[in-house]
Amino acid sequence: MKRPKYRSVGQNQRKVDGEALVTGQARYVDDIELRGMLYGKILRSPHAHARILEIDADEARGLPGVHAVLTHHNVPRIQYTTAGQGAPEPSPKDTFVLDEKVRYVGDSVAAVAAETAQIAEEALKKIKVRWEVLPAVLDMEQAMTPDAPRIHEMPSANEISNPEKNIAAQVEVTDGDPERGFAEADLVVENHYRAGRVHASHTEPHICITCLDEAGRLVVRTSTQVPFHVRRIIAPLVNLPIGKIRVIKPRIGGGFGAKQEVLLEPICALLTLKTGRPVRIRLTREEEFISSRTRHAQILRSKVGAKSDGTITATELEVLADTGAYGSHALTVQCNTGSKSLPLYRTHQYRKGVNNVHFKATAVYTNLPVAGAIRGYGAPQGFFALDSTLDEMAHKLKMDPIDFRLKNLVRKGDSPALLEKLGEGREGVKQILKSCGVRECIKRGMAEIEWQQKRARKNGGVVRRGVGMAVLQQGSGIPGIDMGAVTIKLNEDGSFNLMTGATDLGTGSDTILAQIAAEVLGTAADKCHVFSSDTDLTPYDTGAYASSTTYITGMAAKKAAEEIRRKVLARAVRMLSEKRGDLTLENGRVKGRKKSISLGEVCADALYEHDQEQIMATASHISYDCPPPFAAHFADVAVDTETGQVRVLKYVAAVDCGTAINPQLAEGQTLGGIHMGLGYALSEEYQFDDRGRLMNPRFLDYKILSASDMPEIKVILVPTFEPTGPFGAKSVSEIPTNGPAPAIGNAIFHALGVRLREVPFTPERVLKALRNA
Amino acid sequence: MLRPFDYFHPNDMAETLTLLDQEDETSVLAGGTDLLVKMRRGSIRPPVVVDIKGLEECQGIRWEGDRLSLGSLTTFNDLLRSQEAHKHFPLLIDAARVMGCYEVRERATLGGNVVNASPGAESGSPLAVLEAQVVLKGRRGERQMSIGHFWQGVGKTDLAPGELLVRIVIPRLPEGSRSTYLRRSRVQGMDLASVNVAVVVINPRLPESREIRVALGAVAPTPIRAREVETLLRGQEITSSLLSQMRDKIQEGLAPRTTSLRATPGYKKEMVGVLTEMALEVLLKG
Ligand SMILES: Cc1cc2nc3c(=O)[nH]c(=O)nc-3n(C[C@H](O)[C@H](O)[C@H](O)COP(=O)(O)OP(=O)(O)OC[C@H]3O[C@@H](n4cnc5c(N)ncnc54)[C@H](O)[C@@H]3O)c2cc1C
Repeated sequence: MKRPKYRSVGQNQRKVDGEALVTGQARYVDDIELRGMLYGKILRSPHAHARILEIDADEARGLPGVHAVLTHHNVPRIQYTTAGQGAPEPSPKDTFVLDEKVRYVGDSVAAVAAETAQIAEEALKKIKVRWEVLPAVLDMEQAMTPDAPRIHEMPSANEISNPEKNIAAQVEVTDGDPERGFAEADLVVENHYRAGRVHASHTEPHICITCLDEAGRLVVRTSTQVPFHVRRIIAPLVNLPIGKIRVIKPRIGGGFGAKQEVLLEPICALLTLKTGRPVRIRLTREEEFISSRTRHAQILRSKVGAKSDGTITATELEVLADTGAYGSHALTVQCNTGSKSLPLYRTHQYRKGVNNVHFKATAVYTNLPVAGAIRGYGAPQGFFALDSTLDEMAHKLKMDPIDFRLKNLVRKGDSPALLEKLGEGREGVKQILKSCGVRECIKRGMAEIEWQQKRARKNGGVVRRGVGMAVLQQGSGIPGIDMGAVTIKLNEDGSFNLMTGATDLGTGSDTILAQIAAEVLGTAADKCHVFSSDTDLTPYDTGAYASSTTYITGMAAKKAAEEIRRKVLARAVRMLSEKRGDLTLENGRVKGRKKSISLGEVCADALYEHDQEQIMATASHISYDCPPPFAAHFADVAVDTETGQVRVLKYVAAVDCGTAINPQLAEGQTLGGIHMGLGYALSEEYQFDDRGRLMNPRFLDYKILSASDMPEIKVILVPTFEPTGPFGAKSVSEIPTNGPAPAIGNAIFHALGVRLREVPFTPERVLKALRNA
Repeated sequence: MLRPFDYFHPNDMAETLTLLDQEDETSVLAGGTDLLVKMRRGSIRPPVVVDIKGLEECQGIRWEGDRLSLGSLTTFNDLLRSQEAHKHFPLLIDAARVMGCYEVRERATLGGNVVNASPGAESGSPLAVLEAQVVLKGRRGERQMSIGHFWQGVGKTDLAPGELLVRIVIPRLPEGSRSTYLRRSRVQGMDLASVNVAVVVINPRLPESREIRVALGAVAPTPIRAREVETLLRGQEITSSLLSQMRDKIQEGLAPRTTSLRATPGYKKEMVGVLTEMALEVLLKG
């Protein structure tokens, strides 16, 4: 295909907010101080499961400097979900701002607003609670048993799948005839995998400042990925119409999905409404670990059938997931475990239009911290189980694991039927693959890691070497649901403002949008002043999740810029007395055959000279396509058979994200995702005691990898052109998180001949697996 | 959250000792990398904090006869910059290298590490195996004792109220001795040791008169010497059967606490042998 030449797209444009970030000028929520601001603190449950028989806050209220204490007695009793999703949220409405029951150690019991944080803490200690401690269930496999205590006893209309059995959500889909597929297989491989509970580890904790403006409207400044969902979800909880609420997202210090949650905003707003004063609540790191959101722990049964020539005949995944005390994202994360992993492979009946696939997921409540959205959104668990099973199958078939995958991977033009049946907690949308660089990713990754040589390496001694790989995909936005809108207006100096509801949480999406708009307008990205996001001032956007911003909002930016371009050219025809067809936009100027004028002059003409108007445009975009980015990850590992230590020496990630709008940012996203995935695979894990208390709620004891732990990483961007994306772009941000667990697990197998079926692959688990082998 | 406290920064030993003597609940502040963590967590709430960074007597690394004397304020980065440490006590360098991160090493002092008395502290097993002495000073005078007696349990020392750790002194090792320190940790950067060993070999080339000293960290309430292993190895040819005996023997009597988040007792007990063998392999080579 002949690729058009771009000037702004495809360049390593400096981040539009880079200078403010490195000079410390960027303003986060915590940099905002409002006159008369009170400090809010939340009293947290010491019990995993208990009923509040009595709560006495009189002494706390009487403490000098305390302005308000909220308990379940004086907050509205309205069921909702903290999951920041589109309306209606496909998560059970199982949460109250404050309840008469607590469901995990760390659950909210009461909240205080006081003049200083110290006074607020003092006040918390003076709140007296009489508890009825209830039996707790801390193990997802116990949660559904008949004698397990029931965690949610809500009335009706809560959308909990089966509260009697502690089932928050469940889903089951079948395509084709998997039973027949397994029956026709020459070999069936089936095993259980366990994926642990991990933390998103964003730098900036959840923080929110609420106040009332002069018109009595509620203003919420919050570190969120979903400002518009925050506005909509809190409205009934604070009993205000949506129009009387303004949500502002300042600079965010990371979220990775954990800020696709409405956690602090309701209680903070209620404290403001009670006191009339600005109130700030910021989670401590310990609270962040305990009371924000984690990745879902899962137990997965993964089954693959294949012919002896390596043709897959059927696949199956059955998932049991621990959603913790509340069901935020319980259904959709689990759907994604199947819908991201399974459709990557055909089965032998594919040509008749069916895959033999069975997928079932059950998310259960336990009395543990709450799981939710985290980068990858269920896919890391799915790929760990599925890809490890494929690797095992290849080994049993005596095939090279790459040859085996190549034989079965999807191709351009395929339309995996599972995606039609399994969507965002409901039926999906028919998909046809219009771009697919997965084979090129494998080819280039193989060369970089030196696959053939390293697979043939002789092994022995205490430290064994191995290489493994995994093939991955993700999506780009949620088809038929995610919508992004962008407003652009032109200024007299030729610069333009770009207003968007999309939330750059550190990903660089503001820069991406600027590059896309600048490309259309034939100007430089730094002429684009990006403002994001404020529900009063910017158009709607679903928010930063599901790898959607570049693909969805990027297209909205392109459309809005095209509208500006039309308006500019129309004026330039008159101003230059040239034919429309002879005009081009380049370097901030409209060029004709004879003359040219600057964008600024065109704007001045529009504002002051002729048929005055503000040159501006707003465009929305929604897509029914959800083009998957593809990737092949490779890990070269050394495993010490005496200490059980796994060291990753080299890691290669080849990724097809369509056109990389900004290669450096795409690479950065990939590196960051690999870092998260490596921690998931090697060291990160929530550790609980037998009373459900998190024992390692701090980075001293919860180990993410540091710079010195990182292997050499090579990122290879494999360009394809996705016709439905802006300038051919697909997503890039979540997919890398899926790779390290299966790629390293497969490499360990290559090194030791032993398969690890539980992440993280801690030294003790490696030794145990070696001994049981 | 930090509580208010009175802060003193004396430059004079007498004044410091007077301050320390006056108040019951006074905390000495050196680098503060343990103290401030505890104060913020609220596990200690001293009304008075005495910052000793101005004290000459607690600074510097110098020879005093046959002993290297390290001021208690010696930071881990000071150690890494010390020619004497590199030359004579390379195990201290091994330990300092893996301690915390650059920023922490720039503040954290050897004295703080010793007084904090964490069983897996980076300086613990090295100072135990080097048979270091601590020099303590109080208003009633100065005393010295072996570091093994100084540590009394997790976070417990023989330091009397009002007393200061002034210097740590290490006897010179016989010419040609070798030493190393190895640890296991969950991640390489910024982690505490799950378990560690310090090994010194005296007369590495002469098996008959060879002496091997071993100390272990994070397997008992304080860093400990593995005396029976030392006896087992003394003057012996190192064979694989001896090493496997060593691995069994080294575990005897060890009962690491079960509540560690970093490793299970079983893993720790196994690893001290593995690490000791690794250390010997390095020290006895060539
Ligand atoms: C991020 C981080 C990482 C860390 N990593 C490691 C690691 O890898 N390995 C490790 O061993 N430790 C580690 N630590 C712990 C700590 O840094 C060390 O124990 C350090 O050596 C303490 O020294 P300090 O000067 O900071 O002590 P301080 O915090 O100032 O004092 C510690 C204690 O000793 C007392 N004290 C200090 N000096 C004297 C003195 N001269 N006389 C009497 N009492 C005294 C204090 O009152 C206090 O009780 C880490 C700490 C942090 C915060």
